[in-house]
Parts: sequence; structure tokens; C-alpha cells
Amino acid sequence: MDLEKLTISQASADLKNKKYSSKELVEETFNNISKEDSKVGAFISLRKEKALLEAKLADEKINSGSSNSLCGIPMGLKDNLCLEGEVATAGSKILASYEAPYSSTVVKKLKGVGAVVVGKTNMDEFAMGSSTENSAFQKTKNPRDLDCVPGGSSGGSAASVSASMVLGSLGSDTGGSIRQPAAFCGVVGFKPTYGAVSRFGLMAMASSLDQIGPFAKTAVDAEIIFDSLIGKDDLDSTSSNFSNSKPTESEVKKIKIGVPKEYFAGGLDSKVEKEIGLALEKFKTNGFEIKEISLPHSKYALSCYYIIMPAEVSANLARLDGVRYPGIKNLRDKAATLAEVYSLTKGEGFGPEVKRRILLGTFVLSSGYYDAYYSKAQKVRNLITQDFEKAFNEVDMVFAPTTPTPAFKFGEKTEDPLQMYLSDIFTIPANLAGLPAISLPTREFAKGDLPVGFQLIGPKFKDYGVLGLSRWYEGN
Amino acid sequence: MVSKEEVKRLAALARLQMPAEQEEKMAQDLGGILDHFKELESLNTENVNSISGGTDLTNVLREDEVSNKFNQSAVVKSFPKEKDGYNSVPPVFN
Repeated sequence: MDLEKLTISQASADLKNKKYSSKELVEETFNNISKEDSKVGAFISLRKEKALLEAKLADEKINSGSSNSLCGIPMGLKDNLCLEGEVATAGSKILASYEAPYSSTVVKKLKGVGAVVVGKTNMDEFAMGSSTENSAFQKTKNPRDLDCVPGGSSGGSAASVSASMVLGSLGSDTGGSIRQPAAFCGVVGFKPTYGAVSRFGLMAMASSLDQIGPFAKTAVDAEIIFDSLIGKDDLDSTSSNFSNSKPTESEVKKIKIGVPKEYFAGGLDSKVEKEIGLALEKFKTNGFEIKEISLPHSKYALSCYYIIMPAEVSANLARLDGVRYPGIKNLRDKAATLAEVYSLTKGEGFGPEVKRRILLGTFVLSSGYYDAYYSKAQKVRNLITQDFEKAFNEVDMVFAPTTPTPAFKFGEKTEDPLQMYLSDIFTIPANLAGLPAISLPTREFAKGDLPVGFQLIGPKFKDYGVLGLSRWYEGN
Repeated sequence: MVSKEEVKRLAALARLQMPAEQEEKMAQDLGGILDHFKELESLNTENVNSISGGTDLTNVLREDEVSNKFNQSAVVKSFPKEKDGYNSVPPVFN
């Protein structure tokens, strides 16, 4: 088998036709990981023995006629997703020895259909970052150019698929953390509608924005993974059931595509501009109706996001206080009071970006500033949501770049946090409005040619419309 | 502009120990980010409602029932200190 060219849908057919077994596929996966990952650094931890056992069970399922396309497929898991009995660090020193006592709902669902989790992938600490440079453990390199970052925060999940170490992986997306690394690494990354996938067992960063979604080489594969993740879960009260009927080819061809003028108002890197133009041209020449639209409050999205998200971060991360989770070893003996246990644990355990966001969140929620910042941002969030609602009266889907530039070099943006934040400028609005959004490579990119991605953003719960149009794009 | 004193105040509120040598850079970073937020001042939001989340669901309720969804010994294992199967915490009052 040629892992570099292999997709989930092909591997699934091969497994059913007994061209090879899941055990052989997973063994080959680990061979490839031992060759590639010393260069790329996508995985924080691997679980070879357990994965091989799971592969054997998957083979039994396939032999007894299981038809699920994920059965026996090797996958990666972002390290902020809990898998019972495995360490889950979220890229942080503070959880370096935390063993998850339960599995997240998405993991249970993947295991239920027979997917094989080979390991946990590297990420920016608690999903805060756009380059995976904020991991407390290691650098992950962009497999397309090892001098460049893979994007973030789900950089390990994106890189693991891009380097063909796994056929698919899961990440989480709060402001672009699936789509931005997917664009940088030349793979497909999909952020579902808020509520389409249960987040039980995902370590919360900003609860009104977080969403779990798949990485894959193709939109067809991303849809296969998404199929097995969806549905209401009693353990996540924000999750819901929705119509999962898939559009037919002729329905897809009738999709009206909106191009927001604010996303093209300058500031795009020339390569991105050219690639995005060609992608749009492909829709045009194939008879899709394209319409210019306006999302007038787009320019406020970054400020709005960097108020709301840190506010939620400052509340969510308070629980990592050295009392309920492992914290820092032997630190408790040094602390004289309970308050000192909290502050020493956090001071020692969190990296600079996490601290920055906790302090920023504390500031915007503090007395005297709440109205000017947090309350204002919640109103702006409403305006941004309404922009999309109005746009979807005119068009069915929004077309946009994923990032202003292709992957950047290590260290290029680490000194100035605002520059780093700006790399999420096009992905943030979909999180603020809770919409499904995908990033697709504009075309196939050879190694060394930095990939460019574009986004398709749909109305709430039109996830299968977004995926249907994506499948059309890659198939034509 | 954010002062070093303001960083100290925020760190105390967040119960987060900040090494003194990092206060300067933190003050500078926060100041830069807060400056960027000034663009929101020019936006009129007088008659706009606040929204708090990505979901349209309201009042999702369930019965308050005891369940055994978690393996107790696995949860206890993740505590920094345990005593007789319980979480052992530092004293609140000394």
C-alpha cells in the first residue's frame, strides 16, 4: 500500500476487499510514523500496542460484515480530547501527567465504529495559538516545508494527515484552529456547526466558540469522519440533532455562492490572492451563480473575539488550580496557603500565551471595564451573526480565503501576539456566529510549494451542504 | 497603556503568580491588544442586544439523578493527593 496516496475511502474499500488487513494497515502506519515523525513532531504520545489490538478487533468486525467506512482506519487525536487511560496534556506542563479517567463522546463514537486511534497530537497549550509554537513539549513542523509552522492550534493533527502518518484526525476549532492549520498543511479541515458534535471530553477553552471537527486528505473523507461524530449527546447540553440529508449533485450545482467584498479589501498575500481567484474562477466557469455580498462588521470580528474568548478562558482555566488535577509535582509542599497552591501552580504550569489570555480575560470582566469591553463585544457578536443571516437571504454559501498568508516561518510572529492573532482574521467570524465552515486546498500542491486554502461557510446546520459543495470542488 | 501595577492587580485577581521580570513584557502586550480594541468604540451598538453563545437552545434541563458514569478510582488517581479514596486538599483556614 502507498500511504502517501491512500485516502480513507480507498483504504476502506481495500479492507473490505481483503487487499490488506487493518492490522497490516496500522503496522504500516507506525512504520511511516517512525520514519516521518522524528522530522515533523506531530505526535505527543503513541499507543502502538493498544492500536494493534484495536486493529485486530476491527478486522474481526470487517470479516463479520461491518460496513462502516471508518472501521479499521488509523486516526490521530488532538491532545485536548480525552481517551480513557491515556495521558491528555492539552500541550501544557500543568497536565503533563494527567491520565484521562474517561473517554470523550467523539472517541466513544470513533471506537464504536471500529476506528483505530494511533496517538495524541501536538497542539498549542490549551488550544491557544496559531502556530503550535505554544506547546510546552515540542515543535511541530509543517510537512510541506520543515522551516515553516504547521499552523495551530491543531498543528499536530493537521501535520499528521499531511505527512500521511494517519488517514484522518480530530482537532478542535475555537477561532480557526482546524481550518488555519489545514490550509497551512494542504489538507481538508472542517469546523461543524456549533452543537452538531458533542464536546463532552474536550477540554474547554472558550465554551461558546469551541467545536470538534475532522482533518482528512479529501472532503469525501472529512464527511466520512463527520458522519460518525454527529448527534445530540445528553452529556453536552449544547449539542442537538439535525437533518443529515445530503444534497444531490444537481442540488449542489444550484448552490448560490456569495463573495464578501470585505474579505478581499486588501491585505491578502499575492500568492493567496492568486490561488483564491483561481478557485473562485473554477466555480464560475462551471456555471455556479456567484454574487458579491457584504458582511459589514467583519473588520470588528478580531477585536470582538479577543474579548469574548479570553473572558471565557479566564473562567474555564480557573479549575487548573493544583487541587483537582495533577498540577506541578511537589509544588504543594512549597506552598504555605491554599491561595499559594493556586497561584504557584498556575504560575509554574502555564506558558506565556495562556497567562496573557487569562489576564486579558480577567481585565475585560473586571469591575469598571465589563461594559466597555465584554458587554460591547457581545453586541458586536450579534451584529456579526446578523451580517451572515442577511447574507444567507441572498446566497446559500459564503466563499472566503482561510488565511491572509501561507504558512510562516518559526519565530516570525512569536514576539508580537497581535500579529499572531491576525492570522485568524478570516476564520473567526464563523465561530462567533456558530456556522459550519471548511478549509479546502485550492489545488494539489507539490512538496516545497506552500499550500493555500479557501473557506466555504454555510448557514447553521447546513454542514452537509458545505461538505457537498466541497466534494464537488475536489471532484471537478 | 497598561502599567506593571495593573498587571500585578490582574494576576492577583486571577490567582496567577507572575514572575517580576515578565511583568514589563506582559504590560506591553496587554497594552497593544487593548489599543486594538479601541476600534470598537466607533461602532454604534445602542439598540443592539447582547448575545452570549453559539446556540439557539434555551433551558436544556434534565432530571438530577445519581449516575455512575465515571470510574471513581480512575478519577481519584488524577488528584494530586488522595486519602482513603477522596481528594485530599490543603486546609482553607490555617
